[in-house]
Amino acid sequence: MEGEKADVPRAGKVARPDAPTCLPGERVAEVKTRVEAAGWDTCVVVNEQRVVFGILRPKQLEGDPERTAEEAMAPGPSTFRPHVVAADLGEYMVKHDLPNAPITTGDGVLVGVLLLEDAARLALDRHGEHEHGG
Amino acid sequence: MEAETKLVCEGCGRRVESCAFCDDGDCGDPICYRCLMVELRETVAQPHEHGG
Repeated sequence: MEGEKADVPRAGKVARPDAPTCLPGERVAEVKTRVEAAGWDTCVVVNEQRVVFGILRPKQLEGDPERTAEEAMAPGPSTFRPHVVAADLGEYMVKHDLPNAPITTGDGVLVGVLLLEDAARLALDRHGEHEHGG
Repeated sequence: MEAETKLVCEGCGRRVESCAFCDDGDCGDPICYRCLMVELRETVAQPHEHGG
């Protein structure tokens, strides 16, 4: 049993560690500019220790630019641990139409953001392997 | 007064205020935190306390 899934990609390895983050006190206007410049549409709100407080998705980033990230964010988003099989998360992300998911340690420290496109590809690959008897 | 919980976990039938996976209060495939943890293999379902 042990090692059976040793080579299976885990969420912590697939998650993008360079996902944009901001501090709770930053203004949405500045955050949005930075996020878009990096080619993202989502920003994770963290404290100085990178503990996740909330998330700014497009809906929140399009809101009042004068609000702080803390005021605008969706607080306490669902987060997932790095050891979770990325393809498992991918299947759920497709089913729930969730574009991204923060991956954190058990202490809530941000590891990265798992993108739907990355996780869904792994889920599809897994289905392909099953169909071909892999 | 207890908050209205209109969602029902697709795994166990428990009423939930929002989906534990996507946080959506109108999720079409809601799942509770406990079932999600089992599904993602973060934990395993415990047997009945009197054996199993």
